[in-house]
Amino acid sequence: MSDVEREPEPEASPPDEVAEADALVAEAEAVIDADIGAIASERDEYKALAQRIQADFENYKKRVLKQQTEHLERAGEELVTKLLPVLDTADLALAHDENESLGQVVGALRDALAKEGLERIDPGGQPFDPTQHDAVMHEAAEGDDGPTVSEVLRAGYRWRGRVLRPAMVKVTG
Amino acid sequence: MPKAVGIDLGTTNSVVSVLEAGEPTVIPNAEGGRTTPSVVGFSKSGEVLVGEVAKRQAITNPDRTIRSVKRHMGTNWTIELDGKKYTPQEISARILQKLKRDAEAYLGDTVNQAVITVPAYFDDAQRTATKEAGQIAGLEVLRIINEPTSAALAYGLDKEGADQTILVFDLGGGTFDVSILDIGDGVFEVKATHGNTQLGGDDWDQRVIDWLVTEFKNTEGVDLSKDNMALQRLKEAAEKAKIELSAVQETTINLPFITATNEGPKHLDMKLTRAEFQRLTADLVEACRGPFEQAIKDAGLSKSDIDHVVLVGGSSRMPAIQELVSSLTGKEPHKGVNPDEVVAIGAAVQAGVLKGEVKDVLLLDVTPLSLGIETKGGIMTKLIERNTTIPTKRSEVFTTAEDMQPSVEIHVLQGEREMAMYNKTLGKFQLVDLPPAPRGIPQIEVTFDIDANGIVHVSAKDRATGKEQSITITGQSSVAREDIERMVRDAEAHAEDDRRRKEEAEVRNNADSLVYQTEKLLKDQGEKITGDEKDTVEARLKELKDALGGDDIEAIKRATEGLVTASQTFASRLYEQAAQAEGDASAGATPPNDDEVVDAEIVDEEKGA
Repeated sequence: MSDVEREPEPEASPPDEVAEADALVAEAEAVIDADIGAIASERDEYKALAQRIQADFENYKKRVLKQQTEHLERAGEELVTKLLPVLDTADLALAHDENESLGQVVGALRDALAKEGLERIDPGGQPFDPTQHDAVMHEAAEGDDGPTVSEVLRAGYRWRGRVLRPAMVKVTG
Repeated sequence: MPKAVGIDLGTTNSVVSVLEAGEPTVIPNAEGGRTTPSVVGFSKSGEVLVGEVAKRQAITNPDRTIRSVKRHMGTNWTIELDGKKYTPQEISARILQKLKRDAEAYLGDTVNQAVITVPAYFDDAQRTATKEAGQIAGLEVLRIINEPTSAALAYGLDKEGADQTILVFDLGGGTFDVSILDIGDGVFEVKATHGNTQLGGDDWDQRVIDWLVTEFKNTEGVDLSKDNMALQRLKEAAEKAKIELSAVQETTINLPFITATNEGPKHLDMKLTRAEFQRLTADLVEACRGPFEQAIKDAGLSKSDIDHVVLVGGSSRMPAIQELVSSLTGKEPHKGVNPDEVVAIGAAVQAGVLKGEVKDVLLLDVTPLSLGIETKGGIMTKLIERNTTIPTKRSEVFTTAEDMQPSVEIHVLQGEREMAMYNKTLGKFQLVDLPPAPRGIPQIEVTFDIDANGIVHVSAKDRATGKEQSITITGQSSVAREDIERMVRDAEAHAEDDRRRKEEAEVRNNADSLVYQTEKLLKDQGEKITGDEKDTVEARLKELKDALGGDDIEAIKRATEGLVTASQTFASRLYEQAAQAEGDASAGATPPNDDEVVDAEIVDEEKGA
C-alpha cells in the first residue's frame, strides 16, 4: 500500500515544486523590484539634494560677491557715521553764531567728505519723502500740495547713494 | 529651489531668517536693517509703505498708519481706508509681503513657505488669523509655533533629552512675557505663561529721558520737555546710553546746543553710571519679578525644577535683568544667539526640519586637525587646514631637494605644529624611479582627498612620467576629543618656538639653494667672471658652506647676505646678457611654472626622518 500510495506523489509534487519555485522567484523579484524602487527613489532624493546644495552654493557665491562689492563701495561708512554728530554740532554752532573761521573749517570738512561720497539731505520746502526724511513733528494745513517739509531739524546724509540717516524734519500738510 | 523661511512677526518689530547649509542666517531688509518695524502706512497718494519708511511718516499720517496690529489679531477690528475695510490679517500680510520680498532679493530665489511664530498665549482665532495673514502674503504657512518654543529650538534644547523644563524670559521693546515649557520626545508643551503687555525697553529709555530733563532743569533752569526738537534728541541719546551701559560702567551723554536762552546756547553734557541707571530703573526690574513668580506657580513647579533658561528680546541684554533672572532661577541663561533674533532663528530651524533639509546626510563633518606632508628642513607643509569641512580635496605641486634624486618620500602628517617631528605620522610611502633631473625640476603633484567618512587618500604623481603612488588612511577622525584639544593647545603653547624653528629651517633652505645656484653658475658660466670677482664669490661661498655646517643661524643669515652681495654684480651682468640673448633662445627645458610650484621641497629619502 505504501508503495501504491507513494507512486502518485512524485507526479503530484512537481507542479507543487514548480509553483513553489515560481512563487519564490516571484517573491524574490518583488523584493528586487522593491529594492530597485527604493534605490531609485533614494538616488532621486540624493540627486535633488545635490542639485539643491549646488544651487544654494551658486547663490551663496553670487551673494558673497555682491556683498563684497557693496562692502568695498561703502568702505568708510562706519567712520562717516561716527562723524555725523560732529557735522550736526557744526550746523548747530553755525546756526547760532555766524562765525567765519568756524564756517571755513566746517566748509573744508564738508567738501572733503562730499568728495568721498557723502551727500547732505537738506530738504527744506520740498515734498515730504519718508525714504529720505523722518517726520518728528507735524502741522496740519489746508491745501492740496501734499505734505511738505516746513523745517529741517537735523540734516540727513547719504553715503554713496544709500541713506545713512534720514533728515529729521517737521512736516506741514 | 524655493525656500522656506522662519518669521518672527512681532508687535513692534519683525525678523526673517533662513537655514542655509544647516546654519540659520538672519536676512537683512532692503534698507539694510536686520529687524523691520511692524508698521504699515497707506500714503494719501495710494502707496503702501512698510517698515522703517512707514514709521518715518507715521506722525504726518496717523489715521492711515497702523502700528502694533498684532494686538488686534483674531478680533473683528478693521480699519477703513478709501472706502475699503482692512482686517488685521490683511495688514499683517503687508508686513509679511515685505519680509518675503526682501528675503527673495537677498537669496536670489523664490520664498513660498514659512514658519511663523506667535505668543504662547495666542488662542485659536489669533493663530488662524496669523496663518491667514501668511496665505494672503503668498506664503504657505508650514506651521505656527510659539515664540518661547522657537527660542528654545534656536538653542537646540529639543535635543537635550526627554523631560526638560525650560523657562523663557522675553523682554522686548514694549511687552514682557515669561513662559515655562516642558519638553518630552521632541514635543513642546507650554505649561504656563505670564506677562505684562505694557512693560518693555521703552520704559527704561523714558526713565533716562526724565532724569536728563530733571537734571538739566536743575542745573540750567530750562525745561526741555516742552521742546519737541530737544526731546527727539534726548530720546535717541537715552536709548544709546542704555545700550552702552550694558557693556560699560559709565557713559557720557553729550548734546551740544540742546537749547538756547537769552544768555546764549545751552549744552547738555552729563555722565550716567550704570549704578545710577539701575537706581533709576530698579522698580521696572522689580516689576519683572511678579509675572515670573506667577508663571512658576501656575506651572505647579518650584524654581529648582527649571533645567534651562533662555533670554529673548533686546532688553534682556541689560545686566540688571540678567542678574535678576540668574538670582530668580539659580541658573545661568543660555547665551550666544542674539536675543532680538533668537525667535526668528528658531522658526528657520523649524522650517528646515519640516522641509526635510536637516538630514543626517547634510550634517557634514570637519577635519579635527590639519593634514600635510613633511618638506625640506623638517617643516610640516599643511595641505588641509583643521576645521575644513569634508569631503574635500586639495593638491599642491612639490619638487626634489637634490640633483638626480631617484625617489621622494611622502610623509603624511597630522597636527598643528610647524615642525614635522612634533606631529603625528599617519603614513609614509615612496614615489620611486624618478627620471634623473637637477633639483627643483621634477614636478610631483601631491593630492589629499578626504571623503565624507573621514577616510584620507594621499597620492603623489610625477607629472613627467605619470607614475603614481598612493596610500589610504582610515580612522584619522577617530582621534579622541581630548587628544585633539591637547594637540591644538600644544601648538598654541609652542607657536613662538615653532615659528623660530621653521624660520631657521627656511634660512637653511634658502642658504642651501643659494650655494647650489652659485656653484652651478660658477660651473656653467665660470668663463664670464673676472678673476677678482671669482675670488670674492668663492670666498663668500666657502663662508656660507662653513656656516651651514654649524648651528649658528645668525651666521648663516650673514653669510647668505655676504654671498648675495658678492655675486650680485656678476649675476646682474649675466642677466643682461641673457636678456639680450633671449630672442635667440627658443626650445629647451621649460622650467616649472612658478605659479604652480610651491616653494617647498620634499625631503629626499636619505635625509628624510
